[in-house]
Amino acid sequence: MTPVAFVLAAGAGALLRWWAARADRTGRHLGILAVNVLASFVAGLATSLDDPWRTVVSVGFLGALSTFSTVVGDVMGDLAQERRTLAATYLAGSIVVGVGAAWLGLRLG
Amino acid sequence: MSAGRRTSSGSVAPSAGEVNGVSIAAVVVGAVIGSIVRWTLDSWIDDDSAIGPALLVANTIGAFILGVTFGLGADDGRRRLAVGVGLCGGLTSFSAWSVMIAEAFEGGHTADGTALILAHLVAGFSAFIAARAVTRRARRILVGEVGHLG
Repeated sequence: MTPVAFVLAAGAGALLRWWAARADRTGRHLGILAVNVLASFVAGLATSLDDPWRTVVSVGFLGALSTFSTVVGDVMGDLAQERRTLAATYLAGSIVVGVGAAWLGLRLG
Repeated sequence: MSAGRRTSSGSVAPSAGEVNGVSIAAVVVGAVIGSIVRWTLDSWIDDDSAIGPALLVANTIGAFILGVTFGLGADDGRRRLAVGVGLCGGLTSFSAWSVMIAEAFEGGHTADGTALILAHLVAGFSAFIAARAVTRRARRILVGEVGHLG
């Protein structure tokens, strides 16, 4: 049961992230920022779950919904185009807001 | 192959017209493989250290692979969807990283939280930059040799 649910959750998380990235037309990575912050908040809440749901939700769905590599790639793309302010704001904002959302989720969970 | 586009910001966001069964399958298959690898790493590697070694390995490998795809110029189309959006996105996790940092600061372990942030950023960006540079150089050398032979 868990492996099947894990696979379905990971696929759904990745598709939701892809949709969010496509929906963002600002060029400021707001789609990825939004899913990373949302996933961080829910992951904080989900720390109160027990296995196997914790594995399915946190590792499968939220792990695939959020992304570290895309943040790195987008920041490097911004720097290559000399958009340093956007790169710094995006990176720092992702960390500060993401960790803040995770902290809030931990407190509420 | 339908081409993706780089946005004005250099984002790897895809173009609007490429949603079809193949592109959805590319994202899902890549993400499922990446997520299973991250899950396996989490099971194999002792995660008691402050820097979260299992997630550090996953995030670093994901950033490295993404750097290789950029170096190959494969950051467009289905390869970008399967590898960049799917595999690397599924392998790496921002939410798990955020929760680990928040737990460290919540528990008063400021040094651990700071180390977590710095370790993942330094490893991730270093891996991406090194992979992109080496791949670009190797590609130039190979293309040059082929051109010389031709």
